[in-house]
Amino acid sequence: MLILTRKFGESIVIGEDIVVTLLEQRGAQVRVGIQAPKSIKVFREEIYLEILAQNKKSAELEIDKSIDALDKYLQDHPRKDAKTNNNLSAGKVNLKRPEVEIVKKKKE
Amino acid sequence: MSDIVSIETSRFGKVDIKKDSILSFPNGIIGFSEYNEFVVLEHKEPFSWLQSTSNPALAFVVVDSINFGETYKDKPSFENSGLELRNDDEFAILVLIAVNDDKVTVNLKAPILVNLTSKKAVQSIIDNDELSTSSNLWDLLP
Repeated sequence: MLILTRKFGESIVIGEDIVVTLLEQRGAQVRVGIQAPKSIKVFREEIYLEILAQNKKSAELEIDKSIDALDKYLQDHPRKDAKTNNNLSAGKVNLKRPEVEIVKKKKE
Repeated sequence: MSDIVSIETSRFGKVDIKKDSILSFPNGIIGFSEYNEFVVLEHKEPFSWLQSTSNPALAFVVVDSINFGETYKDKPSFENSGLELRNDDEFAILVLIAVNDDKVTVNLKAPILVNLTSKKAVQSIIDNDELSTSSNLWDLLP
């Protein structure tokens, strides 16, 4: 890791268009200003990692237990007024349980 | 040139979709940045699947936040998300679903913002400590 010593008010330039400035100290906290193009996403690390973990969990939703949990959820909480946005949807689908079984076997 | 394309999915088999229903994610979804095109496939209301068009096995269960009433008191900001939203553009806000020990949770902290006019979408992290990455779905639906 590159370590640089900076005073408050001073900056670090990363690449051509990212500038990180040390703004002020408040007790144990340091305020940092970041100038970057909109295409560069800036996250607090712990929040980024939490969202990464949740996204992976969401992507793991498979047809077996998880979908059964959703089905059970729908049975327990019947919906009369679910709203859908027709401009969003690409179509309706039904789960094909046997095909996912095949996919799962491949993973083993 | 056809308006309909077929995509392979591991959960639903081959699905025919309209080309103009494809959503483009220039930055992908956090942790899955190499996948830039998804479609929303309706399943059982209120659940839909956000299905990758290029990876048959990659799909997320999502719920449209219009089902939540006042969950987002302040509309998540498109301004800082990197997604352009002009005045007349239609938009949707989707939240990702996860299942933790039979508990169905939603990630309100990092919703998917969709510009329905440009068909571009981003996953945005909302800078609000009151929003959780795993809220109980039952507490949110009216």
